[in-house]
Amino acid sequence: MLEEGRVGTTEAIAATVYFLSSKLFVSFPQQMATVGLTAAWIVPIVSFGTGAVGFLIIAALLQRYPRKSIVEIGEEVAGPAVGIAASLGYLAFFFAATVLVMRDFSETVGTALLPRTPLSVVMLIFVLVTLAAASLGIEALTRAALLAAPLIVATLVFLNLLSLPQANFDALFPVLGPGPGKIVCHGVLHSAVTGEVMFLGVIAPQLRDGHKLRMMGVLSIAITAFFTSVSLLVFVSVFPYPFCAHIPYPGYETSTLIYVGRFFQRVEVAFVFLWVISGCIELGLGAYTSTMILARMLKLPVYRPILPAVALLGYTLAFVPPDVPTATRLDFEIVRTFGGIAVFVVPAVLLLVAQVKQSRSGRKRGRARGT
Amino acid sequence: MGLLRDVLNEIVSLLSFESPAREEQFVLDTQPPLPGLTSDVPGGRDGRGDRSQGAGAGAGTGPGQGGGGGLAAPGGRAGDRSRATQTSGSQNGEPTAVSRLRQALPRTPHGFIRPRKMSTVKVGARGASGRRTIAEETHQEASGEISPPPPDGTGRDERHGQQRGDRGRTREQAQPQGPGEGQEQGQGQGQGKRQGEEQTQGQPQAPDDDWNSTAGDAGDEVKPLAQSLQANLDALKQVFHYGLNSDVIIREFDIPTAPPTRAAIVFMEGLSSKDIIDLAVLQPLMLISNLDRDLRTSDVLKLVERRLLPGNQVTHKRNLRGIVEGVIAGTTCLLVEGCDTALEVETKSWEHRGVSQPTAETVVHGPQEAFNETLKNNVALVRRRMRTPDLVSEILKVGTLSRVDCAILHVEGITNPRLVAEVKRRVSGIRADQVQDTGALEQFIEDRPLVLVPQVLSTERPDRMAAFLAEGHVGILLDGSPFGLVVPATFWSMVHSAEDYFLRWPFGTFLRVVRLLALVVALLLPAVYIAMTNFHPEMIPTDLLLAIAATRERVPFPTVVEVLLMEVSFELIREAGIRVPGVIGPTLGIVGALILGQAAVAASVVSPILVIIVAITALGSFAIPNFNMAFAARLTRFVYIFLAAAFGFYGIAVGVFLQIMIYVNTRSFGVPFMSPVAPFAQSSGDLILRYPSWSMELRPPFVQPQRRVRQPEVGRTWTPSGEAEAPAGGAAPGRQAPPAGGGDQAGSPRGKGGGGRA
Repeated sequence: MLEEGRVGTTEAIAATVYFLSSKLFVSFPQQMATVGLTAAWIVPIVSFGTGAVGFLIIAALLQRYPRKSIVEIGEEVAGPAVGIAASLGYLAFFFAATVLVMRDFSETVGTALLPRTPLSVVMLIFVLVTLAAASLGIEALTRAALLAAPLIVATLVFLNLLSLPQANFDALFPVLGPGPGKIVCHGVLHSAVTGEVMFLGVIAPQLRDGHKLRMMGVLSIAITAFFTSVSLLVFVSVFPYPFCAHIPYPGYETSTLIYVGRFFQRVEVAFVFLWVISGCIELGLGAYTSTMILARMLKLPVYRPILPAVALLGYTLAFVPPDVPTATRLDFEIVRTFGGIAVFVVPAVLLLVAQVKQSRSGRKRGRARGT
Repeated sequence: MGLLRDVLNEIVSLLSFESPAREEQFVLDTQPPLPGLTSDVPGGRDGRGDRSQGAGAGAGTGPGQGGGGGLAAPGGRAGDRSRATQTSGSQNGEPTAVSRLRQALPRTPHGFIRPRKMSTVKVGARGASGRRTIAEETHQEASGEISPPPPDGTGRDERHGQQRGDRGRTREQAQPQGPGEGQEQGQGQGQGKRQGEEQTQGQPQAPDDDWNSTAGDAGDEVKPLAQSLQANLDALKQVFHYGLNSDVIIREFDIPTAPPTRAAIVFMEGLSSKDIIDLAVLQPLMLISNLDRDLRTSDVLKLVERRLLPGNQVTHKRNLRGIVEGVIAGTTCLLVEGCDTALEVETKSWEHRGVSQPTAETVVHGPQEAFNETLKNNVALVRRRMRTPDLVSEILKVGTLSRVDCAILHVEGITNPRLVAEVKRRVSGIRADQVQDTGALEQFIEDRPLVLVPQVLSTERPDRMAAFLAEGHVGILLDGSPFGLVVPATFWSMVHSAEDYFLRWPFGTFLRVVRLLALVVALLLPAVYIAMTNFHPEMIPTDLLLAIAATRERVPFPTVVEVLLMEVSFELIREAGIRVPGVIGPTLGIVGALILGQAAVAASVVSPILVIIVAITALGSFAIPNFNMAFAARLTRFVYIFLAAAFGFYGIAVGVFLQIMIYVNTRSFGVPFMSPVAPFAQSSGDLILRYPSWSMELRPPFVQPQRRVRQPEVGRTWTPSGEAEAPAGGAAPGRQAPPAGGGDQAGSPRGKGGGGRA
């Protein structure tokens, strides 16, 4: 059943925060440092701000059609052909983002924990776990996100606090890095880093409190923006700009530097342990969202039967990038750049069309009454 | 093979290609508002309730399969399958292999397998005779033709009763079980409706005997008594295998009328009190000689009942089955010549253990008494702590051979009626020949049988059960079991102990944190040790690493073998310690813990650090207050050991994630297992942190109690601020005021009655 499971407000926020923030543990900080230089911590604020505006548009569209997902709304507003095209855009964004994040997480695990294990094995385990998690449904996934939320918060807080002794805040200057114009430009251009917030649009019919959708999205974005920005600020101050832009996993590298006395050191494994859990949740959510979009698009009554196929496809496609830098580049330069069109621009157009349709039908009704 | 099939089924259903089955589950979620207690799934819950009514006696396994959908409710999918196999009489009118086998087994009118004698009738004959087959009934229920039962949970049985009544057959409604439980409502009432029907009220009906009866003997199972004493005695002798069965006593005598009236009593030796029978039954009947000779037989019976039987409970039985069930429960039945009604006198008395101290849930502070094997005592122990007329104890019969009494306890006005109805539905839906203990009962009623974690809380403490009842949970007691069950159970209740509430709140909170830590240690410590030594030695400080390396230098095994060796040895010691006779138990401890451990280290089989690891793990395991939860941790630990050996911390992380997923996906009687954290709901101040007793003002949200407020905001009214803030009457809305001065609300250790702001 596609409508199976109900998601409470708190669970929805927790899941969205996980969805948005888990990439912080992989190569996302490096990408930000590449475009934002010393102002790497400001760029996500702009991106998330833009994403929040984009989400408000999505929310406005969703609230016009209560108890319907963004997929069905697209078809209702613009007809089946355009609707399916729009849904393909959402699907492409979520699927590509999930596959690339899986590749990223697998590489991180391979680097940090299992250097002698083949990447295919590490990734296979991720795929199997993702498959199991997604098949348990949205209720279990969002509740797991809520249950594990303290872990992720504790991880970020400890990582940032314990890294402070290594930080050199002089590295943050010049504060505006490449200049305000470029910061805003990059922030807006890469606003798709918040594209996962569209997840709320996909599960909208399953939300217990659909009327709080706007609050859920904006709060999730705000929480993620805060943690992302603070973490990037710490990363950039620990690894000054030129280094940070060339370190594939700044979060992991920062954790290796933690040294609190002779006994408490080399604790990066503990952090990776927690990041794997958050990675599993994100991948589960990604797989679920992708499959749900596909199932809704194809008007399937259930989504689980196509889940193994989606997982297998994802597993195969994850090997397409020959190396981590290529995967990172694909993610940042393609998915996070053009993804914004799919997840923010298309809903905005749909909203416009819906508005025009509504006003036309209102006018027609007015004429009919007049005659 | 059956288990394998169930496991495969569970795996498939986890992958959930059978997603509709999930919709069948009873859901008592935290989110919907209390009024109406309706489903959060549009059109889902009510429909679910209707269909699930078929679970007790339905047939078929697949959703939409002519009533199969009705089966899916309580026991998870695997449980549903097994239940379907057990209960199915036919599918689409065709007798299944199981039903054919069942028909082939001859049974007594009471469901007991007897030497081959009685004829069997095919299921189709039942349908033809006017009584609906199980499949028909389930189909109708699934299609909504039959409305769900009212919250008192009697609807389904009422329907059966009505159908049988319509056919003009007698049917016993219920059996009086204990003092005050079965109250006769008078002979005349309802006789016009159902001739010969028992009029005992006050209890729900015993579980339907569709499971063990066939249409052919359906007429015999409620066969009315004859006027002839000899005919009745012959029938009873046949049922009880009189002559062969030495425990059954049939004592014939004359009531000294003129002419003497023949009578007999029937009882079971060992279950009935000889003193009561001699002094309160036989003596008055045999020594009184002033009965009027012109009295009609019915008047004789009336006179005997009103003047000659000083027993405190006397009920009427009008069919064989009623007599048989009474006798095997320990009552004494009096049959009089010329009467087609027997009198059942309460004479139950058997040897039993007295109330003793708890053995599995010991506390330093707090009550020191535990349940024993006698249901009446156990109910009384709970009732003593909840002196409210709203505490209701309903009796159901469980097991076709054992037919033990099962008491369902709840507090009327607090407990969610849907929860009570669901508990009764599951208990009365059990189809098994014997259920001897709550440990077995729990397996029949839990939501997901293949999940390791317990979904029902087992306790031997009456005070703990009373506390849960006051919160809105439902208690289940089974005759013969010294443990009670509490449903629904959550993960957090598994790390709570009764003592938490008897200590001041900082101590109680501290103990809970320690127990959570113990759970983590019991689950993960050996796995973490393996992961650190095998995959991530850089995590270990150099000095410690050198020390570990030095101790492991002469050990020939890899770490994982070493750990498994010690873990298995420890499991052996633990199991042997339980099975060994008590006298040499301490010796075993010495042998196991000291000699074996010391010798293993000296022989360089294991390293000393590993002995420490295993010992700490064992301590963690023992610190988990719930026995079943500790067991789950023991088994899960081995999974983590293998994951750590294969993938180090990555394996452990993946395992933890999967465990979290399983936990959040588990329900206990419709309540999410991780409530009220996930899904989130306002806490009652009784989760990990334990609020002070005076500020635990709310009942847990996940049970959806009828009254959410348990005590007023200001309970310590004696304080100056309390006097100022206490509202007139001192009660919060929707709740009666507790006794002033913090009197014990309903005797509950949780409801200290009188929270407030100091």
